[in-house]
Amino acid sequence: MWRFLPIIGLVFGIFAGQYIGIEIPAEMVKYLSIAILAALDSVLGGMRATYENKYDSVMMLSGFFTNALLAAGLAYIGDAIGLDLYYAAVFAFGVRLFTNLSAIRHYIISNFREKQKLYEAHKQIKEKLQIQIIEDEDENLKPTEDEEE
Amino acid sequence: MTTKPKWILAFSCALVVLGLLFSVQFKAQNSAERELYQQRQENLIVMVKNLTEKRQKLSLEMSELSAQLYDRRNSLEDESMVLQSLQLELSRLEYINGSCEVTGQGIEVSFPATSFVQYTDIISLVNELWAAGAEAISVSGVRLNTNSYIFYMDTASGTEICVNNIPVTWPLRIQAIGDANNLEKGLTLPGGFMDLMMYNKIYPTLRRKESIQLTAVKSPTLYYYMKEYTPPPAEDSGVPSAGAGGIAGSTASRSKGNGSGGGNTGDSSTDGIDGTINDSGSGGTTTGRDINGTINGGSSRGIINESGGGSSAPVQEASGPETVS
Repeated sequence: MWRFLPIIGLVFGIFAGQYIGIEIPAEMVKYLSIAILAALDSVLGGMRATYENKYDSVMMLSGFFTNALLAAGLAYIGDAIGLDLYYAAVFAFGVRLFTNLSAIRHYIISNFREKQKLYEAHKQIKEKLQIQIIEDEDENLKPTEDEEE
Repeated sequence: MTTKPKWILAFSCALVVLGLLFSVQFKAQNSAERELYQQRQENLIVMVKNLTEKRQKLSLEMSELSAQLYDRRNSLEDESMVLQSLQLELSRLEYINGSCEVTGQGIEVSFPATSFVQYTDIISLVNELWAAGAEAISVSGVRLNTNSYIFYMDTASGTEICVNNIPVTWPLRIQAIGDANNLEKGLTLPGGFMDLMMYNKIYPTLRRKESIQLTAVKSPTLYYYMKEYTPPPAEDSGVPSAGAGGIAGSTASRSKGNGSGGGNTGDSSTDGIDGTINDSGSGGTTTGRDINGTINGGSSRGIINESGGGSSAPVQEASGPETVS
């Protein structure tokens, strides 16, 4: 049940943003977009950290906000001094985003495989046990049969 | 797994904020996409291309439409030209008719109050003036037109000379617009009007004037019986108006006032054929001693001034004398 809270939060945030009526000026759209990229990267990094068991919620939240603000601020400063730091931020966060995504994918898949392996091992053990049981039964029966015979 | 609520809480907070940012950004981007400076260069190029094509199409359409407009305006102009020329003709006819005020150089003949002037003298004077090229004449302030007549009338102060039933005032002044030189010469030529007056011991004074203002005809004549003549297809067509008074035809086709007057051949024939109206016109005598016929037959310009009295006029005007030729 707890698992769905982030998704509910995302949906709630989207709806709130739709209806709360926050308007940002058109020239700020660029910086907001880079902030969103940074925030997304932070979220994905947090997810990755949970898979790696290195998760720290303070780190995640601080990274979330500071990364977003820094990215936007850097892009703004870059525009102010005539340097396209925007693209640098896009590149950096984009690369990190994809590495995070691939890492998450790796962990998910490897987790899945480990689980499957475990399951199969479990199954094999079970089968082995069953075979042994059958064999035992056979061994138990044979003599009886023999006995019968 | 005991830490699960913790990270989930932080994640939820982060994702709420993220969703907020997303939707805000989405909205802002939607509105910003219409801003040109946010567009990419390629998009701008495509947009420019599209817009140029659109503009070409529109300008093509515009040229077509303006051609249409030109046509329309041309036809309108034609119509307005027709209207204009009609108005021009109307005003010209009004000048001729005497239904509007006119000014111009001319001559003024004034008789002293003591002079014994007969109405025929005035008629002959008017005839002379017409003959000499006068374009508009008024007798003691009464403008003459095609229906004017000059005759004696009994008024409260005795028998007076009347123009269009209006008694003249003394000293009698007759004003005529036209070439002042010609008018003066027309009156003063040997054996002409002035000599005649001298002979009758009347001494009018001639005065050239730079500008004379003549009033309009007071009451336009109403026509009840007269209709525009359309020649019947039969052999009757040869009869009318070609007769001795042939000068008459100058405005015959146009103005109803004159149109029927073609047949005035001196005798006051009431030839009912083709509806001509009985004009009491005299033949071209410049002395014009006929009663109330101020016809200016001798006019070289072919202007005829029939003062048909009440002959064709409505009854209320018919107090004017009947024709006696």
